[in-house]
Amino acid sequence: MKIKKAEKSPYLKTSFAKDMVIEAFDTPFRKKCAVLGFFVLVGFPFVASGYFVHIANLIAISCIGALALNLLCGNAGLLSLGHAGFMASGAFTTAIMTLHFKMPIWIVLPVSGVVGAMLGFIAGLPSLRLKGIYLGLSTLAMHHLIHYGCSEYQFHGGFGFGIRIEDPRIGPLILADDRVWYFVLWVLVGLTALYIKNLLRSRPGRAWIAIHNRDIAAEIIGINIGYYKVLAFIVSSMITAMAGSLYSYYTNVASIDEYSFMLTIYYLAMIIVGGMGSILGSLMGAFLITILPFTFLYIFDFFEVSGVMKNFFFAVRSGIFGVVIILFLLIEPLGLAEIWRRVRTFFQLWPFRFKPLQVTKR
Amino acid sequence: MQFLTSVIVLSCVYAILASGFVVIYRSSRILNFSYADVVMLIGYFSVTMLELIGGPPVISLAIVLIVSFLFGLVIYALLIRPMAGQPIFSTIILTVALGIILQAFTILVWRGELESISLGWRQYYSLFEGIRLASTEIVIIITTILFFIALSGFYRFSRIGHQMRATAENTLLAAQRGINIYFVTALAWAIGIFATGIASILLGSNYAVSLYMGHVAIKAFSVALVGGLDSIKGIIPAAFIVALTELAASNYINPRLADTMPFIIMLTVLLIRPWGLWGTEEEIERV
Repeated sequence: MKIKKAEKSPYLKTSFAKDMVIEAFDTPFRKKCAVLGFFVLVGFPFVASGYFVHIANLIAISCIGALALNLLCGNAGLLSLGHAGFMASGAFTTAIMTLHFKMPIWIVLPVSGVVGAMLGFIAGLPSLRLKGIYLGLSTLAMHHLIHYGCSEYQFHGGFGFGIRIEDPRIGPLILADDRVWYFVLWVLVGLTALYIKNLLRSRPGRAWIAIHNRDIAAEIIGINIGYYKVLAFIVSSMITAMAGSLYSYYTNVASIDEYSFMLTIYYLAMIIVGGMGSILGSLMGAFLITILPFTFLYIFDFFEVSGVMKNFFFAVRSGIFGVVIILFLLIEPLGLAEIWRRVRTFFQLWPFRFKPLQVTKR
Repeated sequence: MQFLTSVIVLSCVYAILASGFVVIYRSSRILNFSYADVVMLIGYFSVTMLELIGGPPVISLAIVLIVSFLFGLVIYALLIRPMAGQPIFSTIILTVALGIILQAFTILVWRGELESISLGWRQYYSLFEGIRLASTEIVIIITTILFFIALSGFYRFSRIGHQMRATAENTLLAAQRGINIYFVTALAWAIGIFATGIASILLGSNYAVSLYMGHVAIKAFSVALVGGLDSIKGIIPAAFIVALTELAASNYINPRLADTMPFIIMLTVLLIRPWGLWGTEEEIERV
C-alpha cells in the first residue's frame, strides 16, 4: 500500500524565508482575509455616504498616529507623553510652509517629517539617561515647549482660531473631496504599516524589542542602546509629524487648541485598547477609539438624550475614554489584538481546547 | 518686596501640591497624573459642602478633608492595588484615565461654572514698606508651615511614619520585617489625596474654583521633580525656585511664558540631575 505523503501544513515553517513572510499574508485564511479586507476598503467609499467616508478618513489619520506611537511605546518600550506636541509640530510646519512659502504638498509633507524627526531627536536625548516615569515626564515637558512655541506663533501672527490651509494640489489633482482623500490616506496607512512592519522584522526592530525586554541584557549582546533609543524617537515622531501635517491639510486648519494633552491620551487609549506592540492592534484601536464618540452621538440621538449629557458631550466623551482605558488595563492589558488571537486560536483548535501533543500521522 | 511676597505665597501652594505627589511616589512608586483633576473635584465639592452645611466654614471644610482622605483609600483599593505587578507604564496611564473620568464627572455635575470658596472673611493688610497681603494669603502661608511640621513630625516620630519610611526605602525588606505594606501604601495614598484637598481649598479660597485650577497642579510636577521625587525636604526649596522663575518670567519677559517656565526648569533638571536636587541618587535606574 502506497503511503500518501502528508501535505505540508501551511503553518509549518521550514525555512527562514518562510518565517519572514509578513503575517497578514502568512496562512491561506489570512490571505483570504487580507484580500477581502482590501476589497472592502476599496469599495467602501462607493457605497457609503459622505459622513461615513469622513469618519473613515479620520480613522486613517488616527491609524498613522497610533502606528507611530505604538512603535515607540509598545515595541521600543519608551513611554512618550508628547505625542500631541509632535503632531502639532507637523501641523504648524505645514501651516508656515503653505502660508509663507506657498509650497506644494509633496515638499511640505517630507519637510514636516524632517522637523518632527529633529524634535524627536531632541526629545529622545533624555532617554539616554532616563527611564520609565522620568522619561515620560521629560516628553511631557517637550510637549509643553512645542505647545508654547506653536501658540506663540498662532497668537502673534493674529490667527485667533487657527491658520487656514488651502486644499493641497498634486499636479492637476486637487485634494478637496473626501473620497479622493480617502484613497490617498488609506494608501498612506498601508505604506506606514508596511514600513513599520519592515522595521520591526529587521535589525532595528529586534534591537528595540531586546531593549524593551531587558536593556542591560541588550547592551551585553552588543546593541548600541543609545543609538536605537534615539532612533525609535526619531522614526516615531517623524511619522507622527506627518500625520499631524495630513490632519491639518485634511481639516484645512491648524489650530493649537486641537493638540492639547487630551490628544495624547486619545492616542494612548488607541494603543492600549488595540494592543501594545502590535500593528493590527494599532489599527483596531484607532478604529474603535475614533468611532466611539460618533457611536455615542448616534445612541444619544436614538434615545433622544438631552440636557446636560448632550450639552457637555465632550465631557461624556472623555469620561467614556477613561472608563474604556481603565477596563482594558484591569481586565485585558494586552488589548484587542490578544482577544482576536484567542478567538482565532479557539476556532483553529475547535473542537479541542488545547493543541494536541505531537500527534504523528502514519 | 511685593514680588517676593507673591513668590512666597505661590511657592507655599506649590509645596503643598508637590507634597501630595511625593508622599504617594515614595510609597508606591506611582506618579499620580490624576492630580490636577482631583484638585478640581475637591474644589467644587467643598463649594457644594459650604453651601449645604452652612455655618462656620471650618466644619464643612473638615468634612471635605475627611472625605478626601477616604477618597485616597478608595482610589488605592479599587484601581492601584489590582495593578500590582503590571509595568509602570500601565499604572501611569491608569492614573491619567482616572483623571479624565474625574474631570468628566466634575464637568457634568458642576457644569464648569466659576465659583469660589469663602473662608468667611477676606481683607487686605498693609505691612511695612507697602506690602499688601490678603487674609487668604496669610492663611496659605500658615497652613503650609503647619502642614509641613505635621508631616515631618509624623514621618519622624510616629510608629506608622517609621513604617512608611521603611517601606519607601526597601519594600521587600519592610514586608519581611512584618510591616503591612498594603496598609502603608493605602495610607500614603490617603495622605496624598488629603494634601491635595488642603491645596485645593487654599487655591479655591485665594484664586477661584474653575475648570482651569488643575493647571497649577500640573506645574507642581516640576516642583516635585526638581526637589527629587522621593524627598520631602527638597520640596520647599524646589517650590521656591519654580515659583521664583515662573513669576520672574511672567513679570519681566512674557506672561504667556509663565506656564511653560516650570517645564523648562524640569527639563533642565532632568538632563543634568535626573534624580532631582535633593533626591537620592540610587533612586533612578540609570541606563
